[in-house]
Amino acid sequence: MSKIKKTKEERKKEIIKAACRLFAKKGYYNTTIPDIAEELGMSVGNLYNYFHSKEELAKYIMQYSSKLLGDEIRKINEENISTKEKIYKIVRKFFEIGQEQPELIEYFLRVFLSNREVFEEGCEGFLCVQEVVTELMLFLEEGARKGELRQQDFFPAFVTLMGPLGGMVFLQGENVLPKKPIEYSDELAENIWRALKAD
Amino acid sequence: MPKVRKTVLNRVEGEIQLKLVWEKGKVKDAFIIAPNFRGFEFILEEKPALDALVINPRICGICGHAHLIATTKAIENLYENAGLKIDVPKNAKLIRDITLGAEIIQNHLRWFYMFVMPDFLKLEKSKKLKDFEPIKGYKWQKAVDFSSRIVKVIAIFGGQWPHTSYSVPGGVVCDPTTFDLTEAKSIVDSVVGFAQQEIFGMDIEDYLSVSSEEEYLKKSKNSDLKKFIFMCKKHQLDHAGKSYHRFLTVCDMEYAFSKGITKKKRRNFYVEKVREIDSYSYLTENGFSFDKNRYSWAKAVRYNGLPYETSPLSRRINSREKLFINLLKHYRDSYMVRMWARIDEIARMLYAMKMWIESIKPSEPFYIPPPADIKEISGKGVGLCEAARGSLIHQLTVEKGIIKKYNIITPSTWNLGPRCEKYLSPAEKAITGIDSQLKAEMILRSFDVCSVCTTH
Amino acid sequence: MKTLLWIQGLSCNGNTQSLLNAENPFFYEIFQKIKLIYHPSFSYRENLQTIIKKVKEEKIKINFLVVEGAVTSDKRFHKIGDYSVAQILEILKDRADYIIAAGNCASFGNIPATFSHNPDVTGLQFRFVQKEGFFPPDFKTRSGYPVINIPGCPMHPAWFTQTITALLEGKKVILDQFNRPKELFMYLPHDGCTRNEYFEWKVESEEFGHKEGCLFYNLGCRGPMTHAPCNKILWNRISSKTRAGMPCIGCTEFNFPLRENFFETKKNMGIPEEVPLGVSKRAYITITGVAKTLKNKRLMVKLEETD
Ligand code: SF4
Ligand code: SF4
Repeated sequence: MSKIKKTKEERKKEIIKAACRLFAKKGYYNTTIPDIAEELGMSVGNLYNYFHSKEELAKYIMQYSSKLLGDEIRKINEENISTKEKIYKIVRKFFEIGQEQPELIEYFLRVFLSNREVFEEGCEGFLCVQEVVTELMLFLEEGARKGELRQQDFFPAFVTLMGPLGGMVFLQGENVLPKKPIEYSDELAENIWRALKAD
Repeated sequence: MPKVRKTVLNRVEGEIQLKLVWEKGKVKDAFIIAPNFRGFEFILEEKPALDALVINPRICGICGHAHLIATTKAIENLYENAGLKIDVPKNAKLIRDITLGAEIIQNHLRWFYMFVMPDFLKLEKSKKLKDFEPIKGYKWQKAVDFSSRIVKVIAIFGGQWPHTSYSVPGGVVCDPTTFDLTEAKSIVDSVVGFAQQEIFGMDIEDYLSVSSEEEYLKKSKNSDLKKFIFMCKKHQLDHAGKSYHRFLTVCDMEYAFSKGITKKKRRNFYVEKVREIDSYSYLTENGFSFDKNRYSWAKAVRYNGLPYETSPLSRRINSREKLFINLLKHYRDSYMVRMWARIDEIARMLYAMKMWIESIKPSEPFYIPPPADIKEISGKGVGLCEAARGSLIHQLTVEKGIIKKYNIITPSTWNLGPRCEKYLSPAEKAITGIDSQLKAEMILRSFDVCSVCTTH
Repeated sequence: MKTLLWIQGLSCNGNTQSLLNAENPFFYEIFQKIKLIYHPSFSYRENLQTIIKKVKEEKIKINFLVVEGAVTSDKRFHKIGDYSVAQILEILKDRADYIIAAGNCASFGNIPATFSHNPDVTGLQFRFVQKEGFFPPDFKTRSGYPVINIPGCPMHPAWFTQTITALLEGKKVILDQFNRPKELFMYLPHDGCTRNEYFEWKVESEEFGHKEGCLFYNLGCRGPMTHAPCNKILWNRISSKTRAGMPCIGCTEFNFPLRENFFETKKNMGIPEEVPLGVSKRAYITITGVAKTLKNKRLMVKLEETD
C-alpha cells in the first residue's frame, strides 16, 4: 500500500513540475491538460485520475508549494534561536527552494499572482497559502511577544518580510541580477531585521 | 465615672464596632469604629483608568453597581475636562438609571427585612412578629425572593448582579431587544405587587401622592410600614435618633429626586466645597498613623465645614417631598423619619423604573465610542452618583490613561465616619443621649451601615 | 442537623449578597437543611465570641466552616471583635468537617492581596497561583478534603449551594488543581455563550453596545481561557456578562486582579497573545484564517436584518 501511495505522490510531483514548466512557457490559458499529458508522456485519461481539471491542478500546485515552504519555516520556528537568526534562516531557505525548484517560485509570480480569477473559488484570500501565512504569523507573534520585534499590525510586518523576497525573484526572472539571489540572502535578511526589530 | 463599652455590630454590611461612653444611664459620647481596610485607593494607583470599572464595583457587594456608575461618570468627566465631551446616548443613561434603581430597591428590601426588623424582634419579644424571624419567617423569605427578583433586571442589561462592569465610558455594553424590555418591566411589576401588598398596604401611585402621616395611616391597609410606624411610636423611636437636620444630595434622577443641600433652606450643591478631614482617621495625608486618638479607617467628610446626612431622607428633603417636609416638621430627622424615607424610596424607585423602561428606544444606540483612546487622556475627573445609602463621589487624576490618584467618598463616610475637631459625625451625633444599648445600635442601623463602603 | 458557620475576612460581602440570590435551593431552603449557627449579616441573637467559646468547649459542632474574604493576621487592617480572622481560623480549623472558601478573595487572595501596604493578605490555601495561603499546602480538614475553593468575584450562588448539597448527601466532590469542584469548573464561560458563532467565524466586535460580534479579539474576553460555567448555569438565572455584551474578565481564576487592561485583548503583531485553552497557537491561526476567508453571511448583518 504505502509503496503505491508513495508512487502516486511522486507522480503528482512530476505532474506539478511539467505543468509549471508549461504554464511559464506558454501562459496559463494557452496550456491544456492534453499538453501537460503529452509533456509527461502520459495518457490524458490517466492524468484526469490525478486532477479533475486544470483549475484543480493550479490550486493544488499552490497548496503544495505553500506546504513545502510552510514546513521549512515551521522547522525554523521551532528552533531555539533568536528572532534575528530566524529571519536569516527563513530568507536563506526561501532562496534555496527557489534554486532547487525554480518552477514553483516562477509559478507563484507568473500564474498565481497574475491569474487571480482562477483561484477565486476555494482559494479565497490566503487559503491556498495558509501554511506559509500561519508560520509567518507565529514567527512574527513570537518575535513581538519576546520584545525582539516592534509591535505593529500583522500586514505591514508581513509585507516587510515577504516583499523583498518576491522582489529579488522578480529581478532574477527579468535577468537583471548580476549574482544569484541566494548570494544576497544575508544582506537582505539584515535589511528585513532592521526594518522589523524593536527600537 | 463614665463607663465605656465596646460592642461589635452584626447585621450590617461588614464589621462595625460601636464604642459608647455612658453617664447616668445615657450615652454621653459615641465612637463608630470601622476597623477593616482593604486599600482600594492605593490599589488603583498606576492602573489603567478603565480597569477601575472592574476593580471599583468590588468595593461593595451590596452597592457595587453605584460604584460602577460613579467610576464611569468620573472617566466621562475626565474626557470632558480634556475638551473631548462624550455624548452618552439617552438609552444608555436610562439603562444606567434602571439598573441603579434595581440595586437601590434590592438594598432597601434586604436592609429593612434582614437588618432592621430583627431589632424589633428583640425589642418586642412578642409572637406577633414571628413572620419576620430570620430565615424561618414568611416575610423574611419574601424579602429574599423579591430583592433577588429585582436584580434580575440588572442581569438582563448587565449580565449579572453583583459585580458587573457593563457601564463604560460612552454608554452601556448591551443592546437589548424589545423582549428584554418587556421582561424587565414584568419583573418590576411583580415587585410592585409585593410592595403594594406587603410594604405599603396601598397602590403605590396613591402612596406617592400621600402628603402626611395621618393620610397614610388612614388610607393604607395593614402593612409592614404601618406596623413599623406603630412600633416606632410605641418605643419612642419616632422622636429619638436626631442628627444635624442637614441634608445633602449630589445628583438628580428623573422621576425620583433632585440634588441640592438643605441646611435651613435648600441650596445648590458644589463639589468643591466637600472636604475630608483626617484628624481621627488612621489614614493621613502621608500614609497611615495609629496614634491613640485615631479610631477609624474612615475620614470625616464635611461640606463647607459642616457635617451633613446623606441618605434617602436627604433625597426626599432636597426634592421638597411634601410628606417628608411634614414629617420633618413634626419629628425632625429622627429614627422613624430616616427609616421611613428608605422604605418610601422602594415605591419611588419602582415607579421611576417603569417610566425609564418605557422611555427606551431599542432601535437607537446604547453606546458611542469615546472620541479618543483613554491612553491619550490626562487630567482630572469627578463622578457623582446617588447610591442606596446616599451620595457617592469618585475623583480621579489620570496621566496618559494611567491612574495617578483615586479618591472615593462614600455615603457611609459622610454618615458614619469619625468626628473632626468640631463635630461628631451625623450617626455619632444621632446616638448621643440615647438610654439603651439596643436603641443605640438601632439608631446606628437607621443609617444603613455599610462598613465595607465606609472604609473600602 | 448539620451546622454551618460563616465568617468574613477582608471582603466586600458580595458572596453573601450573591448567595441570597440562590434558587433551587433558595437561601432559606438550604438553611432549613443546615443550621446556620452564625453569619455576621443575619444572626441577631448570637454573637461570634460566645459561639467560638462554645465551639472550644465542644458544646457546638461545626460541619461547614465558610470563609468569605481574604485572610490577614494584621489587626491594624482587619478585626472581628478582638480577634484577627487568622486567629479565628487557627481556633476553628481542626473543628470543622469542611472548610469552604466562598469567592475569589478567600480562595486566592484577590484584590485585597494586591494591597502593597499589607503584604500579609492571602487566600485560605492559595495566594494567587501559589499554594502559599494561610493554611499549609498539605492542610486537610478532618473530612480529608483540603479547603474547597468556590472562586468567582462573586461566586455564583448555585456553585455554593450545589457543593454544599452534594457534601450533605455524602457525595464525593472531585476537585481540580486549584481545589475547585471539577464538575463546575470544567466548563468555560465560552461554552454556551450566545456569541459563539461569531467566535467561530471570526466576526469580532469592534466596540460595545451590540448583540452581534464576539468579544475575544478586540475587547479582552477571557471566556475561552477561564474555568467557570457562567453560560451553563446562568447568572441570576437570566444571563451572563458575555451574553449581555461585557467581556469575561476571568474572575474565577487565581490571577484575576493581577491582569491589566480588562477591556483589551493583548496582541502581538495583531495576533492574540493568549489563545483558547486546549488549542495551539498554530491551530488557532489556521482555523481563524480559514474562518475569516469563508464568510458566514448571516453574521455580517444586524440580527434584525438576517434572513
Ligand atoms: S464573547 Fe467571549 S465567551 Fe462569548 S464567544 Fe466570544 S470569546 Fe467566547
Ligand atoms: S463570565 Fe467570566 S468574569 Fe463573568 S462571572 Fe463568569 S468567569 Fe467571572
